[in-house]
Amino acid sequence: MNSLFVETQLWLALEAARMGIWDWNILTDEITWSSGHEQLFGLEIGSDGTYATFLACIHPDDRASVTEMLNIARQEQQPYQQEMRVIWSDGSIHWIEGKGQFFYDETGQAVRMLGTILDISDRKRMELALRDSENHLRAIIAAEPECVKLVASDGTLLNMNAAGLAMIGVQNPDATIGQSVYTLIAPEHRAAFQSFNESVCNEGNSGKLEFEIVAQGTRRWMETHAVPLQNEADKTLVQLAITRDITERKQVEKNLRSLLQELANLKFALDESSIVAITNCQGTITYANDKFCKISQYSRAELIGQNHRIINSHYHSKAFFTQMWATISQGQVWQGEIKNRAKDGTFYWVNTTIVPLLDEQKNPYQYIAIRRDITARKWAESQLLTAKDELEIRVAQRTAELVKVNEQLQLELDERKRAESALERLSHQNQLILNSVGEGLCGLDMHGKISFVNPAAAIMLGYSIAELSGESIYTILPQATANETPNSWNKLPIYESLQDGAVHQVTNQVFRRKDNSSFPVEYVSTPIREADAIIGAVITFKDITERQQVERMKDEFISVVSHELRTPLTSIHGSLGMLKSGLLDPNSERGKRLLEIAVDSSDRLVRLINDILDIERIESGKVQMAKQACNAADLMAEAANVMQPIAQKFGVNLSVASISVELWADSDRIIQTLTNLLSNAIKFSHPGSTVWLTAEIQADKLLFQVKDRGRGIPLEKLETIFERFQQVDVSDSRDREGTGLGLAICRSIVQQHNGQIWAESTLGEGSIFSFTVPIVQQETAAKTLERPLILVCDDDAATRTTLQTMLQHNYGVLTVGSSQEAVEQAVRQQPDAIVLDVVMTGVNGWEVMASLKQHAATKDIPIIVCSVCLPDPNLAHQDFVDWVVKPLDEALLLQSIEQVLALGDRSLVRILLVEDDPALAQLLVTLFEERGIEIFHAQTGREAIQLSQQINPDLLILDLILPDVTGFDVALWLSHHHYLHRLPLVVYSAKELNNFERDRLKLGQTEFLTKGRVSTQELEQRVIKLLQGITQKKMQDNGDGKTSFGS
Amino acid sequence: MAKRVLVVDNEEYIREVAQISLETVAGWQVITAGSGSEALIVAQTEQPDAILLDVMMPDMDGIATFEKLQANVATQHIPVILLTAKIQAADRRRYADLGLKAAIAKPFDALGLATQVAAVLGWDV
Repeated sequence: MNSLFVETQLWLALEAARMGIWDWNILTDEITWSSGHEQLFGLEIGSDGTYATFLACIHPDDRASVTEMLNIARQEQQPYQQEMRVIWSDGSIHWIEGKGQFFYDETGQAVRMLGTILDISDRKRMELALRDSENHLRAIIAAEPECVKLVASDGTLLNMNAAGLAMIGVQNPDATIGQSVYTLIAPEHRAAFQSFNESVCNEGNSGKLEFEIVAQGTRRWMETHAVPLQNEADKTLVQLAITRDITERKQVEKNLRSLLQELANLKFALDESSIVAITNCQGTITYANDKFCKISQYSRAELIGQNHRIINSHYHSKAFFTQMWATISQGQVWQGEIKNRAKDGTFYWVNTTIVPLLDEQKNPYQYIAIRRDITARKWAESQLLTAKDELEIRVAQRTAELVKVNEQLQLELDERKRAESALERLSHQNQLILNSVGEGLCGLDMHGKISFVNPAAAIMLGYSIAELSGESIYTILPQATANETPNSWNKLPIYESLQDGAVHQVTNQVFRRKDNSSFPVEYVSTPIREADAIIGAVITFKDITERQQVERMKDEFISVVSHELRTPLTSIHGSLGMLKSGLLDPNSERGKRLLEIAVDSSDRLVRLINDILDIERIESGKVQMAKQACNAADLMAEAANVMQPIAQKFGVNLSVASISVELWADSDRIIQTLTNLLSNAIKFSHPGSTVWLTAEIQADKLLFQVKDRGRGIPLEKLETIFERFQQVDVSDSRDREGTGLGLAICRSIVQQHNGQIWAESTLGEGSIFSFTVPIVQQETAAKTLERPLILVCDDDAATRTTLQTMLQHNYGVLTVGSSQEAVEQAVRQQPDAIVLDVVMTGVNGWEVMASLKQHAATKDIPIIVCSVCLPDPNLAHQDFVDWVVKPLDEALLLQSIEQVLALGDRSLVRILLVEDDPALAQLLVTLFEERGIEIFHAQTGREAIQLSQQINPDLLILDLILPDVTGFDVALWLSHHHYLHRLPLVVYSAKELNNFERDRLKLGQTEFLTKGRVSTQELEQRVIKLLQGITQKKMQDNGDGKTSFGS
Repeated sequence: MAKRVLVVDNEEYIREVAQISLETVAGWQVITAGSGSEALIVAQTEQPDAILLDVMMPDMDGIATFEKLQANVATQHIPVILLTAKIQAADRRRYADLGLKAAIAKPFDALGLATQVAAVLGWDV
């Protein structure tokens, strides 16, 4: 081959391979290089070649190593090879690889060097990149928080990063690396892991595996991602795996699974039980469960994407849904009952709960509606409602009917009531007749056989009704005695009635009882007729045993009276007869004695006649006790006054301890009683001894007592002395100028005052005669009706007397001497004003005043201070209204009281008068109107009931016998009224009332006054009394001033 | 010798009037007793010729007193005349049955009393 050609070819080949050739003549330091070399060194074509030129192109960092490497190669005669950087004139750096060979001379000195350069920039770039990459990888692996490991196909752990070692809790890597990794794997996962490892290492597969390891005593879930990797050492494949601990994830997954299961269950339950729909914020349905589909009759496809309005029934108002949306759009749960419409147009009711699901901003992003079908319940409710409406209509209809029927019934009832009440009266009368003692009824037939008897007859005769029925009349007639002929039927007046048809009255018959005892009877035999024929007779008989006894007593009384009257008469008659005869000289001792006897006896006769007439009048009720308000102290003083001369005559001291209490009594009669008792006491007292007259309040009564130290009364006489002519010793009647009627009269008087009288005595020591008089209307105060009552409280008796004298003409006066009494009496009597001494000895008058002001019942009573002191100008004046200085100026005192009393208000009280007699009503209306009392008049019971509701009266005056309903009915009606049931009531009727009837009439404070017995004036006074109590109470309730009814 | 008559009455005035009457008109000696029981003693001790006995007396009435006088042999012979307001036909019969001499009505005639008594007892006045 042509050498030039070869050379040319070589150069071309070198250039194509980006190589350069150089030839360095060391001896001349000339370097011949190819154009490729120049190119690679970034030199211009034809540049001279020296070592310096060469070295200048080398990167300064590499120059030293190039020189060194060249030297080494030269000295050791080794081939030279070095990679170096050249810097081109443009500053760019290029990697080249230089290779060369030194040539030596015979001396061994290097004289020439031949070599090549090769552009290795690309390679270098790749190498650098690879190195960087490796460094990165290493750093990554070292820093990798997961486990990175290399495992050989037999399971030997070849390498593992720090995280991996930490994961399995290994402190010393040398003890682990090089060991089998399989021991770390949980036994049940070991086979899988081994198989996985072999698959990677033997077959070059990559893959993922989850398994558990047992490390540090705990099991942990791992997930490994493995790739095969060629082991550089032996070129076998190993497993490179990244493994991470997924224990927590596994736990979360497990929890999630159970949660999901739970949710699934819930959803199942929800879907099974409820109609569930989910909508977005706009109400577009995004979910519908089967039940929703079923009830709405839409398929799921038809529902999803539709607005919820698709099932709107238009039953509910717009406001209803507005409210609903307002609620749920605010994130609150809404609940309610909704009527929806199904696809076919039918309606169904659902109980709906809409739960908004909220995003992080708490804004709803969807709504879950859970509904329950309540159509059946709604239907039932509506049925119920309809039924109820119907029922109500029916009730209303029925009520209307009932009202009508009721009215009709009421009319009938009223009619029947009237008839019944008439019948009742009749029946009552009949019953009275039949049952009253002494009135027996016995029917007889034509043959004298008893056809009937009433209970009274049977009782009187000692038989039962059955025993007598059918028996002969002889059964009850006395048995004939030996010398008497039996009662002949024919001769009996009863029989005569049967014969002549006339009524026969017999007053001296005796009837026989079952026990053969007999009793006197009076009977009337009346024929019974039927169609003009006499068919029998009725005997009406009365047991007259008692009447005969009364008659006997009357006879005895007459006998006694006649004896009592004849006794003085005998003396008078005898005395005067003797004197008249002239046989005796009237001036002789005997003559004078006879005259004395005659005069004394006349006096006695007069007394007797007076007493007899008196007691007769009192007991027969022919004289009314002239009751009025009177002060016990006055009565006692008067009686003592009358008896004082007699006491003096007998040498007896009379001691009176009076008490000032207002009584409702006949003052003359009480004085008569007191003088009578005092007279007895004085007459039976030893000269020099004392007779006491005292009085004390006992609850609602005043107890008067007359006490002596006389001879006393035997126990057995203590009762009888109050009988007529029952003196302890008959001779007393003359000796003591008595009539034997005094105590009987006293008893009658006391009884007429509803009091009691009795005697206690010890023989030889003395007697106490006591009697009581009720303090009438204690709570309304027994003050003088016509006049205001003044309570005088002064410890000085003389002052009390002075005040009493000053005041008694215009006022009722009550005097007390002690503070205790003052308060007691003020509470009890409710005076209109109190005159109080404030320097009472022993007590501080101011304390009395304080007590009076503390007491609710007395705090409003005005107090006038009466004192020897002048008023202290610094004193508070709220407790008293005026101050009067002693010694008293009568005019000033009266003026003060007048002013004080004038302060009281007169409050109107209302009376309802129920009275059918117009004349009496007019009279009463006038009487009360004159007193400034408002009075309303009702003529009938119905009117009374109506008016009582309209005017709300303070008191009711009620007549019992009225044209329509009775007073009893009025009272009954009022007794059921919520506030009228306590209405004070004055029953003013001619009807005599028994206790039962009285009980039926009680409302509030109730008084029974009988027309004819009680005058209209007395009625008026009683009513005023009651009203005073009422107004006082009203005043207290109102905290007002006082009221008086002073005329 | 003047007749001695016992007047028994609980009323002092009547005793006095009777006494004055009998003593003045007939000149008899009159003794008195104020009660039945007193009369029994006085009658036995004084042995009067007759007893004028009031009927209506407390404690022991005239009839009881008479019966006691009759029961006592020392007094049963003394004629007793009742002095009473209580005289009716039935009473007179009863008194007669009891053995009483007579009953003189009250008020009696003061002048005629002695005559009446004498007539009953057959005394001269």
